[in-house]
Amino acid sequence: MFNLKFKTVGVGVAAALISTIACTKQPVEQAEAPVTSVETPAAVREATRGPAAPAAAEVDTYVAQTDAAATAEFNKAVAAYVEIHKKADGQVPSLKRTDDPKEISSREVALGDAIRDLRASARPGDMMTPGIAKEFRRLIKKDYRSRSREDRKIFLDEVPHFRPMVNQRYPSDWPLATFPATLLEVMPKLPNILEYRLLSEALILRDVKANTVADFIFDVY
Amino acid sequence: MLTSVLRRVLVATAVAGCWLAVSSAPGAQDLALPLKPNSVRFGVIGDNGTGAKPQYEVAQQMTTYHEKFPYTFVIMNGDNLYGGERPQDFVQKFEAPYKALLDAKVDFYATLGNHDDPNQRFYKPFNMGGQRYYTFKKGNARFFSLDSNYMDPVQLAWLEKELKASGSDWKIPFFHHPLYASGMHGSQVDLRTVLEPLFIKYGVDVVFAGHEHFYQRIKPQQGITYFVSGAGGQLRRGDLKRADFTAVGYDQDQSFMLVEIADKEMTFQAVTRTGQTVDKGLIVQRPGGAEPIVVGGSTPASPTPIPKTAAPAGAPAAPPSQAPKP
Repeated sequence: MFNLKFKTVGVGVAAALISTIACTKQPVEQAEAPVTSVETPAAVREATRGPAAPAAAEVDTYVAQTDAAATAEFNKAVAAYVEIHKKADGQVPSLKRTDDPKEISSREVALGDAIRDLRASARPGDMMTPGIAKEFRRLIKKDYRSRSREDRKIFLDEVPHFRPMVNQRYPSDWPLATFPATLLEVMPKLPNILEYRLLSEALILRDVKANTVADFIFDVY
Repeated sequence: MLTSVLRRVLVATAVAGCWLAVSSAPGAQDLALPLKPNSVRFGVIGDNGTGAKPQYEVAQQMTTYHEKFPYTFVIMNGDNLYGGERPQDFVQKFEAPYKALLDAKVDFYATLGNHDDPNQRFYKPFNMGGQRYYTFKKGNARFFSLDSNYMDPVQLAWLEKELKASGSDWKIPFFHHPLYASGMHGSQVDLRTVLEPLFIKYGVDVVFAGHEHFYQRIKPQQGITYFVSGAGGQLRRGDLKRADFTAVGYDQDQSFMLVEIADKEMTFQAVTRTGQTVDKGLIVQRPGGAEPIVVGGSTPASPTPIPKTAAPAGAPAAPPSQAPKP
């Protein structure tokens, strides 16, 4: 959907970011291969600011450690969500391939209801805590600001305009905005029940099977 | 020297064949496909799931053509269901319009568009096998249905593995967002960055996409022919803009495609809701990764010049009943 042009973020930069931002991302689904953990603060410097002056080295180390801690906290929250999802999944009839669309929609609704019950007290930011939210905002803003004015217009025309709430059902009359492929390369990996999606004002974590909003943050552009 | 002469002969033969076909000026519902024995025959639709009258009319035209060109399956380029995923939506926007084809045992293979809930993958008639992206083989062609809404590294790794493993003569990915297009959305450059290198590396021949609500054939890009077929129900009249990469485009009516693969040749035909052929041609695969020979052209009976050079002033927008949210 998005007409994306990474004019300043080249392949090398993306690769550097992958190796740094993905470094501490632990897979929370057994089916997915583990992500190698390699700290490369030099690569971060190269990718974002160019070679650092010696005086900045300590600051960079601090930033890298902060990012690692934030990512670890995020992975923990995602893992906790996966457990809730699994528990809810066990409470509703299993979904198999079917000729009857009613089975698909009723199962989706039932799963969403079960998750809502199990995390009734969930609040915005429970999963995307301030540390990782800051990093997500940095990545998305950097991507967004690298686009031409025309690209930004197309970008915003394409994303849904509703205001999200935790645990809400994703409104079926709104499309699912495409998440930029090159941005996905630098975001922490998610288990396959969750995905990132962009709205006009927010980044959301969407439960794919339940079609619900698990968490969101504002101010991402 | 000999190669050069041979190539010229091949091109001349193919062009002559195409010219003969085009100059015959087929009218409504004329078939431009060779119907060779044991060929792979399929239809292509995209952005079709409106449930509105034009979708039904396209479906009727597809049924009419099926009698002359008995294709066995249809690939769907996404936006299979607009505006809701209720049980009745599956009926009104899929089962009812394509009933005649479904009754004739024509299989539909769906891909996910930005208006589609990924849980559509569990709907058996979409033949997605419960997966957001999947592959299947028909004759000497292997198809790869991709989820272009969410092209994450896991999907890319899967695609590379499958492309590498495929020994099929034809490798045909289909997905929603076009890598090359000149409508309101434009080329999906971000997606192109990650997909095109794989397509080139593993010898992809042809790619089908939708998202833009018109028909567009792209001149071969690094040996790959791209089609946009996104007017199976929706239509964004007058949306085609000038682009150097356009071979043929049509944005004045809903449309679908018919395709036939026989050995190293793929013949294609783009047909409107009223049965008008707006593009047809032949793609000849060549060994050693050489550029394919692609010939084709619009029929003189087409109501508007093709390719378009500019959107007509005051072109009517899609009626409200069809217009989706952005």
